[in-house]
Amino acid sequence: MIKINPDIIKKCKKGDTSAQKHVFEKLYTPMYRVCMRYLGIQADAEDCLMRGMMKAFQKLDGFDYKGELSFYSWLRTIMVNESLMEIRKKNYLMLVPEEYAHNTSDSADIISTLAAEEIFDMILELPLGYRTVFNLYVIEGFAHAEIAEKLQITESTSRTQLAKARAVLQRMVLKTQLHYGTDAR
Amino acid sequence: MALTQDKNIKEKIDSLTGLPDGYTPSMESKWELLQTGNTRPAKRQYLYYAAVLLLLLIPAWLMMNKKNENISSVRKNIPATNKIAATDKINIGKTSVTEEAAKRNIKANHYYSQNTPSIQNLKTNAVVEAPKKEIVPMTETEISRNIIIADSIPHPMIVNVEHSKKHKKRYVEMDFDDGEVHTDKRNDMVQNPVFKFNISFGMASKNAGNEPSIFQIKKTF
Repeated sequence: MIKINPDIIKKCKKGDTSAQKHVFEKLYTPMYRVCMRYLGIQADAEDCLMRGMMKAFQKLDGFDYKGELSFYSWLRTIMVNESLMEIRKKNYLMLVPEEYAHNTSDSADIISTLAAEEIFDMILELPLGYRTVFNLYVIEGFAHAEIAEKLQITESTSRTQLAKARAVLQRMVLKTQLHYGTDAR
Repeated sequence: MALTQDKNIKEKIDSLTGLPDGYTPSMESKWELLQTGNTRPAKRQYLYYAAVLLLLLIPAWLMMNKKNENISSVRKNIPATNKIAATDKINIGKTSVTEEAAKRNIKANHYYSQNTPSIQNLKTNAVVEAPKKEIVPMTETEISRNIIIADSIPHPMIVNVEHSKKHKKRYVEMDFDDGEVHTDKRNDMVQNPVFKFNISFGMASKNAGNEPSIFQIKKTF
């Protein structure tokens, strides 16, 4: 979470280029991470980020400052929406039918034992459908109903995708730990 | 348990502040790119405006075409003949070609070549029909030759002219300075003149002795 000074936002609204550049440079990395987490391809993530930034600066007048973290959250929402638009546009989302979904045990909290960068890389390795639902549910904190609406799928499909994503991630962790000669708990 | 696990994952992901390994973008170039708006949507926007402009231009072009068609249809209605101003009167001497006549002829020919039939028709209402062929300005020697040939024709040429709008017949007079213009009837009369004599007798008046007698001859040609 990156805090942005209200004065800088005011300057940005007035069209101050240096203030806008400051915001751009400060938020480029976290926003790139957001786009990359959804799209998984560097070029697509860059394009998405640029579009999101342009949109943000164009619609800055409509932004209401409600705290130091509000601009970050607002911009992040724009980036998530842009990423979802990109996914929908390119028909990336190939969701797995429900009958193939398996329930995984939540007891095995092995994913959280990994380092942040490792988790990030593992999320990128997930199939797009799993990854999108996992990102929206776990990282962004949306409910299944909201995810279903955003992705135009049913709630049960969203749940299934999430369960499958967790299962795949657990398998990945186990595989990694076995690779390093350690036992997964 | 899942909630705790998700919370841990979220915190770890949000804590990532640096860029992934191997990815070092140039912030300056990215900023410039953002400033110029040289991104894919901008290009698409340009295409959109181009399409809108094209859609606006097509009806305008069609309207222009329609106007041109109207003008051309008006032109088509006029008989496709070479036309000259009816007011032109070319006088050429019969026996000798004067310089004045030659100059006039040159002027007339120049006038034909300068004005295309369609344009000429727009300029003047009075038009003269001429044979359908390309008119080339004549040299002075050609003019004199033509005049000599014209001289050999027994009767002066009279060109029938149709007025394009008023439908009145007009004529171009080809005056060869040979005196009167004779028609066939007149020529017959000249060749075979008929004289009618009318002698009238009246009663002598009281003053008849003082006045001379009248002998009237009426001739009819």
